[in-house]
Amino acid sequence: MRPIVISCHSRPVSVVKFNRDGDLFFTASLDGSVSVFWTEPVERLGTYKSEGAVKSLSISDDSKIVIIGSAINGIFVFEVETGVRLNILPSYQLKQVEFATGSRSFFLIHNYSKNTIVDIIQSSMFSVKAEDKTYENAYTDSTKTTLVRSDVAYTKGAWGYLNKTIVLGTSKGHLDIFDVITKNKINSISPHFEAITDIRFSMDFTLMITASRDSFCNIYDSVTMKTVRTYNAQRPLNSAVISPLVVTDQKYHAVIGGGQETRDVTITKADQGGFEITVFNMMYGDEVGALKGHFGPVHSVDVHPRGEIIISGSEDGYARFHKLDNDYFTNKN
Amino acid sequence: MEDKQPLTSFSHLKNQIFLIDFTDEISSDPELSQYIDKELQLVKESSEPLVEPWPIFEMQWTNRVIVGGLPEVNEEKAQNLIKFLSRLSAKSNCPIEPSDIHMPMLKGMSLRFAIITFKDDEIAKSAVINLNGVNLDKKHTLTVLSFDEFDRIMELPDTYQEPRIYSQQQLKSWLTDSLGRDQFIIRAGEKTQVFWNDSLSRIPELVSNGPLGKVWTDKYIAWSSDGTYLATMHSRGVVIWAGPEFEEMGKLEHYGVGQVGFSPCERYVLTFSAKGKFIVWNLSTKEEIRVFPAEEEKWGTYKWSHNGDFLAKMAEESIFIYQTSSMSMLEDENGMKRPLKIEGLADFSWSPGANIIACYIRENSNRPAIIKIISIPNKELIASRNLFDALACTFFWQSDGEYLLSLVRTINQDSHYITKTIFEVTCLKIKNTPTLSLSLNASVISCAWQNGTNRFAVVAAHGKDNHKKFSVYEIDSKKNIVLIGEKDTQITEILWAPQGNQVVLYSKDKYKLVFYSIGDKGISDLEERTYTNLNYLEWDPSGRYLIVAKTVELKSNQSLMGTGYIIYNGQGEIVCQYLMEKFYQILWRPRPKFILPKEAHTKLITEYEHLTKKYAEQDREIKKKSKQEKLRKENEKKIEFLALIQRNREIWIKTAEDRKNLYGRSDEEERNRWSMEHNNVEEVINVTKERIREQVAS
Repeated sequence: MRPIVISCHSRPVSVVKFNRDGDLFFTASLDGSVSVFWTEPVERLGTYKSEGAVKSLSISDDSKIVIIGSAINGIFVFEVETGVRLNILPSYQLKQVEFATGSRSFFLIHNYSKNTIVDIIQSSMFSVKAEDKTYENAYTDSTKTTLVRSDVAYTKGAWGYLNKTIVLGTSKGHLDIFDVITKNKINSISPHFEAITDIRFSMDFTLMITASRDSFCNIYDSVTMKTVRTYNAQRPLNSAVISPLVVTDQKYHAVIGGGQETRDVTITKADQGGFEITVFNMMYGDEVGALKGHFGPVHSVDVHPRGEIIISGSEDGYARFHKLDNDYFTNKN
Repeated sequence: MEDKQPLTSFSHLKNQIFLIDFTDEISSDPELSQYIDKELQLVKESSEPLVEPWPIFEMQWTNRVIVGGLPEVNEEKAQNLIKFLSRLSAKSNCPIEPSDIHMPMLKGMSLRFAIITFKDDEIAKSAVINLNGVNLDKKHTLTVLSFDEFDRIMELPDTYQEPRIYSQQQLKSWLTDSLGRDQFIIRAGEKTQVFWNDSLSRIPELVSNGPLGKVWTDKYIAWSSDGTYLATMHSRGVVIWAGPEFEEMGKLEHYGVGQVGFSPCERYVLTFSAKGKFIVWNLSTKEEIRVFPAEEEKWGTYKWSHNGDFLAKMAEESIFIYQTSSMSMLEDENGMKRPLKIEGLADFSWSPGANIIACYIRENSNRPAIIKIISIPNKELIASRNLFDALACTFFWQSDGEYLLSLVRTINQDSHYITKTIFEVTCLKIKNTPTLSLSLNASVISCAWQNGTNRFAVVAAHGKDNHKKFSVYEIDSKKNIVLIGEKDTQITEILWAPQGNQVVLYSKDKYKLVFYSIGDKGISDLEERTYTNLNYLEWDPSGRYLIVAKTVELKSNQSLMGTGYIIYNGQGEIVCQYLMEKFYQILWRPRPKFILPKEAHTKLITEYEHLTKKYAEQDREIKKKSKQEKLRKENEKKIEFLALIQRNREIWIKTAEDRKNLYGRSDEEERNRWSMEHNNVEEVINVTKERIREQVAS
């Protein structure tokens, strides 16, 4: 297997993501640009220019619209095909944007002074001109509902099955589950000791995965929210994703990425940084293999909907595209 | 059981209120019902606790003492007694008011004790010292106790329990392991744990976690010489543990203890505190038998003889030898207790096989340097050897005391650039103690004898260009030093396996570890390993496994990355590998010395193949079992996991309609919505015909 190293950003790559169909993938960087690529062959389609560091991005289910969360300047809405900027939605200091299933709304985690606000915004806002408005007067009650406004520092979130719930992870390692309609906290568990850096459901919403800075990766039963497996990666984790092959019962694999903090890199040997991307078997909790190559902490990993491609983005400024060999599918684990 | 649960939280209390049955009250007075309902509603809504929490008791009564041994008095006399006590206390520099004394009374009579409150803890402490044991009259003597001491006395069991005495069989129980495994102990973080090194399952098996519910020690640990006892160091002294469950055998009180060492016979213990003192203890009675001051001396100044009969130290050109049975200095020929004075003494060393001392005496203007071998206690000269042009000498004893290798660095008369080293091997078990000699134009970096054999290994820098070589020499039957084999090397430290022919070379800065096997044919390579960290190596007592560890110092309190340990087998394969934070210490448990005679040992080695058949079968059996166990566990995991997926998948299948509403199409349509096709389209853009003119060479 020969990886393709994508070097089109001048600063660390913060997010890499496939669209729902898997024919496109997006790489977002702290330099403020988002690039879109064909998956086969790997060719760049174009670049969306936003302002400020891109912290998060989400693609609608029909791959028509991409929303880009910039750290300071709000949410940039682009049309994927033409690259036309449709709108800029105002927000406070932004952490995450994420489309709901069906893309009729998206949630938004942002910070205002010491409070963290989680809003659900309807996609109808895309056509309402809001570029010069502030967060307070841009939205109406019908387009924005505030789910939570609290002093708990929420770091990441994920939509639950059928958009009924939102799972939010805190900087202290807790998971809070909110009902979207009643806005009540249904459940709260504390599986980690340090900040949760990623929460994702499997494609069929049978399992959930979380990654944390405490170097553990947990797998949950998505219905009861009980931890079923814990994997110790022995390094801080930034991203985790369940391979879509779970849906077809081919493999029960998960992919994780992370590494020691950038400021510690200089004081230890290069091979101790833990910058490799690890594939592990969720059923047995064993490591299946590791993809080496990054020389800075991995910020984001994603798996193609058919499970054959792993992409990753790292602090070193490169995104890597790994097409897995046929051996991966013929091997037993 | 439920009744015994303490009412810890308010919510618990709140729930209790709803369980109370008010039906009787309401039936007697119907008007009550509305009030009760109102109150219950209030309780339901309120988030404030209903009742005030209990006042917190002041638990630390450090400024109070309890005074016992008082006479039984009635209330009138009690006032006088209190006044008397306050006067007595003031006399002994512990001023109090009569109101500070609390004397509990029962049925008009005192209970023969009182509690005194002092201004601060310091006065209370001095009162315990000053007032305790003061006679009131002939019949009554005061007993003054601090509350901590009072608690300790009250907690003591009423019946006398005999101390448990262990038989030798119990003390040495770890040697009778059916699989012949060895133990090791680790100190990491707050944990102190003893493990079996299980090479078959490749996972160390936990033996002991220390005393239940306690941190075993927050300092270092040490095994005794034969592994029978474990010593843990604490700020107040050393605690000795032994037996199959590691139970406490006794305490040796020594404040600020920094090092602990056992005599080779395990009868005595030597403890040391820096800039404090050395204490020699009798292990069986836990009594202090001799104290030596340690102002300048370091740990290692005092050396035990091979059987622990003598303890010796070198100072100012004389050797101080103490007999451990009486802890008095060895008498000289006149019956005087004087140290053994040797003019020009530079170094001395005990033989590991007999009570013999080897001394190196520096040269002076009148005579050359001398190596003297003296037997103790009769101080008879066994051998002596003159050395010319000697600069320094280091002793290496063979583990049985059969040979003494004196490594002598000398002045090279031919060239000043090249160091010359002479190997002087004295054979002590042969008549007339002949000395064999070998000289090399090299500077020796490290040197070591193989345990119990006539081989030694040397790493030396040869010639002008400091070419480093690892060489193994043997003393053959004709009493010659013969070179068996040589290898070029960059790594300099030698570590022989205690049994067998393996030797490992390591280096703390080259991050490399090389395993060699030494046979009659020479040196053969086994394995080379590289890693990032190393600062401690130790072979297990059987010579089958090697621990390589990276530890941090306890004082530094930092957590370096990559600390932990690796266990290799003799061939250099990894048995197991663990990374641990705050990893301070790891030690193999030593085994007692060989008691088989040498002939029986060699016979065992020759019959090795035949004997191991049985054990190989055993090993295979265990491996098979552990494999089956692993498979069974994996299968269990698989079944459980698949059941979970199946359960959740059913929900997914049931809610297909809801999903269709969200996405706008069904799963089937979703799957077939998109497919990829490769179409190669060839389009002819333009066709031109051109005649290419042939170029004619000019």
